[in-house]
Amino acid sequence: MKKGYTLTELMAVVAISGILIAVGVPVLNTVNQNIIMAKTRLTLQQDARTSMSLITRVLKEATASSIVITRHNSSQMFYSKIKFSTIDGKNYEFYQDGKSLVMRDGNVTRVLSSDLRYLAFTLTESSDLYIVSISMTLERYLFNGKRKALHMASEKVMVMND
Amino acid sequence: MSLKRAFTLTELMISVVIIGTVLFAIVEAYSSIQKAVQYSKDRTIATNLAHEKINIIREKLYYKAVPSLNVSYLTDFDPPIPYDTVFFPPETVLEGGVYYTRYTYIVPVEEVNGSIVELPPQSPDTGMKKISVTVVWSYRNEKKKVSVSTIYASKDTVMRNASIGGRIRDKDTLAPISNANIIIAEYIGIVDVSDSNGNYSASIYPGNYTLYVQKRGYFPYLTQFSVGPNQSITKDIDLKAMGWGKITGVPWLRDHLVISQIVGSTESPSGFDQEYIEIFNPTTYTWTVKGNIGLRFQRIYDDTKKNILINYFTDTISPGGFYLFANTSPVIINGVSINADAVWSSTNSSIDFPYFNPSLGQYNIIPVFGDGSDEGGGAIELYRISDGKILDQVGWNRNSGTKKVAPFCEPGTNCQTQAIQQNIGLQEGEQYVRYSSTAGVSSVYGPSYDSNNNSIDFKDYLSINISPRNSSNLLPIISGTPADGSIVGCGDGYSVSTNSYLVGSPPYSYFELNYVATGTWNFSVSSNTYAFITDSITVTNGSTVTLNSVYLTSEVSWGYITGNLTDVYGNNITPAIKVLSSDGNETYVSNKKYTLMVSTGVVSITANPGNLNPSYVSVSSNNISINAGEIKSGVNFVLFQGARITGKVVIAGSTVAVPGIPVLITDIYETPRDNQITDTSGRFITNVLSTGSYIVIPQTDSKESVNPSTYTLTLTSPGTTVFSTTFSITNAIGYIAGSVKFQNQPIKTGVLIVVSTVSLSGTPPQPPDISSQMLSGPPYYMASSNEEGNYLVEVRGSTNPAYNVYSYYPYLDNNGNFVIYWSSRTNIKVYAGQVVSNINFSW
Repeated sequence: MKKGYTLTELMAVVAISGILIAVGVPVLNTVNQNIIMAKTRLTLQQDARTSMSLITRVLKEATASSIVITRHNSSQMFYSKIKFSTIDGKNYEFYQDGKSLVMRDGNVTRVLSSDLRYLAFTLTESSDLYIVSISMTLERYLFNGKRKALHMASEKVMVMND
Repeated sequence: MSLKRAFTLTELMISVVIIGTVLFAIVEAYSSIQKAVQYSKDRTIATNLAHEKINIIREKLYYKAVPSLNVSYLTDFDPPIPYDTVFFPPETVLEGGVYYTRYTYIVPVEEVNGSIVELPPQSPDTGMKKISVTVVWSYRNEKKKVSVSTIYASKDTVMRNASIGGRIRDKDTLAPISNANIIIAEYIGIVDVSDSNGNYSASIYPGNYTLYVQKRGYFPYLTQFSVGPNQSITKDIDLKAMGWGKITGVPWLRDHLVISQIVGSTESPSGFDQEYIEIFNPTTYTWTVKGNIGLRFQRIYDDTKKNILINYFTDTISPGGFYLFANTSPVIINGVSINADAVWSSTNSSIDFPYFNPSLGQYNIIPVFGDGSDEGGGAIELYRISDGKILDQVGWNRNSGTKKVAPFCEPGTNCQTQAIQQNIGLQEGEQYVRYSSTAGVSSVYGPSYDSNNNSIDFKDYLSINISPRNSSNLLPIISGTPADGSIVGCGDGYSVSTNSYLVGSPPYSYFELNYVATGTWNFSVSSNTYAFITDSITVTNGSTVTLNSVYLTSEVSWGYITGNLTDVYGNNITPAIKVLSSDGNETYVSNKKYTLMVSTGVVSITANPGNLNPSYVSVSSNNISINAGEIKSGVNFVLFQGARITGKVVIAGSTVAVPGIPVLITDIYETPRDNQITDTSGRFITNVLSTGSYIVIPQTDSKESVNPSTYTLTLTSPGTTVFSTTFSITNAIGYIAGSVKFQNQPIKTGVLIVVSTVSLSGTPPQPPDISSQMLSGPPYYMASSNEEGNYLVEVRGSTNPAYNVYSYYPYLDNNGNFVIYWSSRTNIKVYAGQVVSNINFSW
């Protein structure tokens, strides 16, 4: 014997499905957004850490007398660029160009991050070039600019050579 | 044909639920993976923060890394983590949306045979400090931490390049003395021990010291000496033998009631089958028995102990007294009638006790061999009803026939060999009687010997030899439980505590305490919480005080620490010096000795805490472990006299105080002796230093200068505080602090702050590029604001010219281009050591 759905059953199914969708979609949407936020935050943290450890590693090898702190061009932030030579004679630059964090190793330039919001190389005192503080903020806008993920990292580097 | 049908509504709903559950589980799993990843990121940031803090401290002068004197502990972790609360207080940092707290702890350390050893914070500077930074954060409501340590060595590390050595001999026989402790009072600890030829040597920092030589059986010897850099000095010392004697004794523990006699079956004149259990009280206090003390019995055939139901007539058992449990009252033995203090209740169950059935005229709980069926083995237990605590147990075997072992005997013993050894078990007319001492059973001494071995402690008689005794009988006591391993100590200040040990068979406990100074002392023997304590044991030269029986009967929860305390000449100090324990007990030294009552566990004690007697230094002795009733002797102190140095640091040409300037005090050999930092009034005050000459040296960095650069003075009067001088400093550090906001919200992305006495020009005002070309000329100071929207810039104190503060905020406009918002403040006057706060910027 075959039996189909009754009209009442079908209507109940449709009603329940409707309620589930009405409640579930916004919830799923929020969950999804939160996951994307968390993921982005982690990505930014990771990028910041990678870039920071790259800068500190190279900067430690710098000779203090070769350090110049400036900016890449007149539309960038002050002190958002550092130039130096290492003890074995290699030249490096790290700087902000708009939203890009750029590394220049000899003649090769490389973009380390495209989410740069803030970068500053500062000294406790301009006459002491042996300790450089680096402050870096990465930022990415999500969901049509409605929300943003943000990560700030800062570190002090001791320059080992005169 | 199979029947096909569509899903029912219920089935549909169930599948929706299942799908929902699976989806939920996936989302949960994903989020927990995310969280694990988050934890590892948090940890990396915490590690970076810890390293950053260490760099900040190492960037400062060595003497600015002051050892932590005011210490608190993070008790969320085991072991608790110490941290400084004054010089480097905890600070909170927000990074990546997580709050991290940084704790700093600095201790002086020293290298000993290649390993780093931590020293007490007041120790003379060794040129090396250990900086430990712990970063703590919350992760899912749980505290997490990362700790990083580093060694900060001074550029001019002091070497132990001086030495002292010599030979220790007996003053009368001139024989070398080995194992004498060589102590330098200023180092707080033993620096060497003399070898078999009496020789000793130690490497030390140059300086003035007090040498203290200590050997059991000799009077301690004190002398002062001075040694310069790369100098070796020799001190041969002859010690005078001290009169001493020894104390020996046999300690007995008397802390519990014992089962003293067991009879399973003896006939009364009328033919009644009598049985009884006799109890003895070797303690010094009266026990309530009625309703409080019970008996349990187990036959070799039973699986469990059975409670005996009892009707009590007598309430208590006196010290040295008896208590008689029986199946009838009176018990008639050899024509003498003795009243029982309690009898078996007639409601005892014949299921538990097959020979107890009043309706059949049977009243026996304890079966004997004559009852047949392999009966004759069993065990009886005396216990406290309220908590079930076992007071005593006696078991007896039946070793022949179908061999049976007692179901239980003394706890922790093997009944196979340590229950009462019997061929056919307990018999009619047989009695088990407890020994009165190691000599055996006695009718005139209390049956109190209890070595916790039934096979040794009891004698069996095949007829009744010792009549049962009841609450009207009292006997003197000459034994107890051998107090094996008890701690024996004397308050003479020289002898070392010893332990008693078992000897003989039957065993008793014995101790021998040697090298006790002549005189009348307090003396204690303790085992767990029971102790024997007297304050009047007199020892004469070359004699032995023999204590035949020492009874551990009083319950105690404290111990004693005793020792000698003298000045560097070995004399008593007046006014009396206070001695304080870490658990808050205190006493005063009297005639060179002190005795401090302390709670049990591990304590530290401090002589002259807080320089209460300002003429003398304060010395601590740490980690002394003490048991209940123990007397710990020989915790001795030598206090040297001293005075304090004070002084002030001001800004050159003014009276403005400069806080935060480290001041180093060295002796004339330039060995650091103290290190202080000026307080908010620009003053510093040293700990008590021994009398002598010192150099006061304010520590400045390369940009600062101080006048005078050093100041030498001599401390001659103990107890005084001597003002050195007022030091004038130029170019010392001060701070500018403030917040940065955009539309009233803290800026989290970073704002650049530039401070200079130079006035910048341009729009926005343009700071110069920084390079080695800039080393001369007015300096620029820079910083970035942090994630919380605050900033702090370190600048050299300057009021004329005053500072200009510039701030730059890169604002991202709607087109995605950066616009530099800027702002400035002028005429900011900064005094050295001060913080100019609230220099805020907002857009």
